[in-house]
Amino acid sequence: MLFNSIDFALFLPTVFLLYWFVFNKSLKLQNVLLVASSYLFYGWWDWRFLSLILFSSVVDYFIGRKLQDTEKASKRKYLLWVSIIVNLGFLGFFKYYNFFLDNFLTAFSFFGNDIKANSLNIILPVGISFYTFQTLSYTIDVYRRKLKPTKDFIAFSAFVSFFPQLVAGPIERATHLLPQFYSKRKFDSTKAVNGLRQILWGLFKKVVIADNCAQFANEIFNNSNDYSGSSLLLGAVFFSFQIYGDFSGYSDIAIGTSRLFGFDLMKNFNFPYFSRDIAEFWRRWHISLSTWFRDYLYIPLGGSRGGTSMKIRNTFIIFIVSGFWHGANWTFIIWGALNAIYFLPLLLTSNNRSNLDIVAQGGFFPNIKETFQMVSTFFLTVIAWVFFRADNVSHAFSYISEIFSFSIFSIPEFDSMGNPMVTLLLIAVFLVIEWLGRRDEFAISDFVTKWPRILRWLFYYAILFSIVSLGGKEQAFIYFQF
Amino acid sequence: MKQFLKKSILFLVLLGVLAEVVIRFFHLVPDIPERYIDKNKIQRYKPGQTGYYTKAKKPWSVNKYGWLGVAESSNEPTLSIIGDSYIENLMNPFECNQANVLKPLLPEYSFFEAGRSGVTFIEAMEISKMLEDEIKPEYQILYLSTNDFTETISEINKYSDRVQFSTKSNKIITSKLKSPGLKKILYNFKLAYYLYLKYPIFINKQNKGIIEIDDKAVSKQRRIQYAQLFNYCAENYNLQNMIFAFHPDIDQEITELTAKHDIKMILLETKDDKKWEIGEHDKHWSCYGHMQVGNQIANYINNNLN
Repeated sequence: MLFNSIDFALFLPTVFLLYWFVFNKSLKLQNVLLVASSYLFYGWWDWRFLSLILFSSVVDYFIGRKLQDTEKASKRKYLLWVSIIVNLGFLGFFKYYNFFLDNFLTAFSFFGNDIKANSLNIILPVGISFYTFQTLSYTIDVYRRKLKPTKDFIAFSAFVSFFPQLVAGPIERATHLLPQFYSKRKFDSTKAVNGLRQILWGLFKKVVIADNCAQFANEIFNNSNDYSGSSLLLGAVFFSFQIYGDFSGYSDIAIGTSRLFGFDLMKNFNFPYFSRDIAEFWRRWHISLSTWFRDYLYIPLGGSRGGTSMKIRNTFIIFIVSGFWHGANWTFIIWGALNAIYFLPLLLTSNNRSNLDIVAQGGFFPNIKETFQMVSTFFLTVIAWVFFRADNVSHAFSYISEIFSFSIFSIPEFDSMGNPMVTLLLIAVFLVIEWLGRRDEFAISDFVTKWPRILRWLFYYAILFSIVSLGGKEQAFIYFQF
Repeated sequence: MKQFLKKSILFLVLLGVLAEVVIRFFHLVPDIPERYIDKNKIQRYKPGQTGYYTKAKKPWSVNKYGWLGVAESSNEPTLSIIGDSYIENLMNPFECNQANVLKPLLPEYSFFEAGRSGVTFIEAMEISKMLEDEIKPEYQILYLSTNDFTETISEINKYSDRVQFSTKSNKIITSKLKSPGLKKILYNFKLAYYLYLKYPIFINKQNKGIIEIDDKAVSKQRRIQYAQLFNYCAENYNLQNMIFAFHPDIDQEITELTAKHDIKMILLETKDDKKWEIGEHDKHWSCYGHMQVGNQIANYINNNLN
C-alpha cells in the first residue's frame, strides 16, 4: 500500500479509530491490531512475502530467548551467527543472487572459462533491506546484552512489521522502538496534531516536489544522449530534489503516522541540503541507516580508534557496504566509494566534525563562506547522485563527462518535457520553507504553530490544495526498491 | 481525544467549504447538464440549464429541444448534425461547433445539432428518425467512428446507459439513466466531483469500450454483426438523405457496408496532425480540428449534392 494512495487514505483513519476506540481496552489488543494492520498493509502489495516477515520474526524471537538462557560465549556467538545468516541469507538471495552470479560468470569468462548458468527471475520483496536490518539490530543488541529479549511475541512481531516504517524505514533500533510496544499508550492530542502536520509536509515533499521533479529527471536520464551538459546538470539537480522529496517525504509520513498511534520514531533526515561539508551531509541524510552502520559495523571494525589509516579504511568499507545495501549494481558501489573519496580531505585534516550545528545558527541568512560551502557540498552530492540514478556505470560516466564539457554553457532545452519553471518555482518555495524551519524537527513543526489559528489553517489548506492540484504524475517511492 | 476529533472535523468541514468555493469560482470541474429520457427513449438534456465547461470563457446552455448545440429555425433547407461528444463539443468555444463552422461555408442551409456524449451508432439513427418528424431535414450528417459501431452491438459489450442493438433478437435495447441520484450529487457537490475526476478509483470501467480486433474468428463474427446491423437500418430508417462522416480510424468493413447500402459517406482525413486534438490525453477535436472537418464536409456537399 502506498502512502500517497486512496487505499492508504481509507486504511489509516480506519486503523486509527479502531486503535483508539475499539482496541483501547488493553495493550495486547492494540498490539494485535497493529500486527494485523501491518500484515494487511504489506500483503496489499504481495501477500506471499508475508511469510518472510513472519519467518524472520519467529527466528529472531526464539534466538533472542535462547541468547538470554545461554551463558556460554561460543554458543551465544553461534546463535548470533544463525540470526545473521538467516536474515542476510534472505537478503542475499532475493537481492544479490543474480548480481553475484553475473559477476562470477563475467570474471570466469575473462580468464577464458565460459560457464553456463541461468539467472533467476526473482521478485525483490519490498522493504526487505529495511526490516532485515531492524531485526538484526534486535539480535545484536540482545547478544551485546544492551537489551533484554522480549517474551511477548505479539509485541516483537509488531516491532518487526510496524506498518508506518516497515517498507522504507526509518530503520529503528530495538532498544528504542521495542520498549514502546510494552508500555500503555495514552492519546496525546499535541503529538497527534504534530503527526498530522508531519504527514502533510511529507505528502507535499513526495507529491509536489518529488513527483514533479521525477518527470524531468526521468526524461533527461532516459535520453541523456540527446541533451546538452547544462540540461544534464539540471536533470541531476531535479533528481537530487526528487530523491530527497521522495525519501524524506516517506520518512515524514512514517514518523507522523507513528505519532498518531502514540509512537516515536527516530529522525531520518535533518535538512541535508543545507550541509556545509560532506561529513555534515551524512550526519543529516538517512540518519537511521548511517547510525546503524556506525554502531554495527564501523565501531566493531575499530572505528576511529586506530589512527587515520584505520579511519580511512573503515570509512571506505562503510560507504561501499552502504552503496551495496542500496542495490545490486556497480553504480551504487561507485556512488558509495565516491562519497568516501569526498570524505578523505576531511579525515586527513581532522575536519570531519567541524560543522555539528545547523548552518546560520544565530542568524537568518548564511554568510558568504557558509553559502559557498553549502553550494559546493550540494554540487558534490549532485554529481554523486548521477551514479545512483544512472542505468549502469558507463551511462553515469558519459552523463558526467557531458556535464563537464563546453555544452554546460548552453541554455538548457526542455522542448519535449514542457516548461520546468513551475517545478523550479516549487523547489524555491520548498527551500524557503525548509530554511525557515531548519532548526526544528521538520520544516513546519514549529514556526507555523506560532501563527494565529486562521493563518495556520490557511497555510495547511494551501499545502493540501497544492498536493491535490500541483502534484506530479504518481511515482512509486524510490526506496521501495531497496 | 474528543477535542482532537472535534477539531479535525471542523478542519475538514472548513476545508470542504473552502474547496467547494475555490472549485466553483475557478470552474475547476465542468458543469454537466442533467439528462432525462424522452418519449422516443432518447436521452436528452433538461432544457434551460446553463453552466461552464472547464476553462471555457462562455457558458453553455441547453436549447428548448434538449441539446447543447445550434438549433436554427428558418425556411432554408436544414442540415442536421448528429454525433457524440465530438459534436456536443463542450470542451471548445461555441463558435467551433460544427454548425457554426459550416454556416459560412454553406450559407444556403440552416443547421440543427443533436450531439451528446455516449451516443452510439444506433442511437444516432434513432435521433435521425426523430428529427425527420421534428425538423424535416434535407440531409442528416452522422459523425461516426468504429467505436460507435462496436458500442452499438450489445453482444460485444453491454452498456445499460446507452442505446444498443442486439444481433441475437434483432431489436433495439433502450437505455437507462446510470445512477441518476449519485450523478446529481456529484454534479452539484463540486468538491466530490473534483476528487472523483482527480482520483478515478473506478478507472477500469472507463476502458470498457476499447476493443482489439486482431483475431480472425472475432473479425468474421464482427462482419456478420455489422451486416445484420446495416440490414436492420435499411429496413427501419430513411437512408436516402443520410451522410455518414467517418473518423479516419473507421473499420474498412463498415465503409464497405455503407457503400453496399448506397449511403453517402465522407472519409475524414486528419493527416496525423497533432493540432487536430485538444491535448495528449484528450483526442477530441480542437477548434482547428473542427475547422478542418467542416472544410471537408462542405467540400463534399458542394461537390456532390448542390
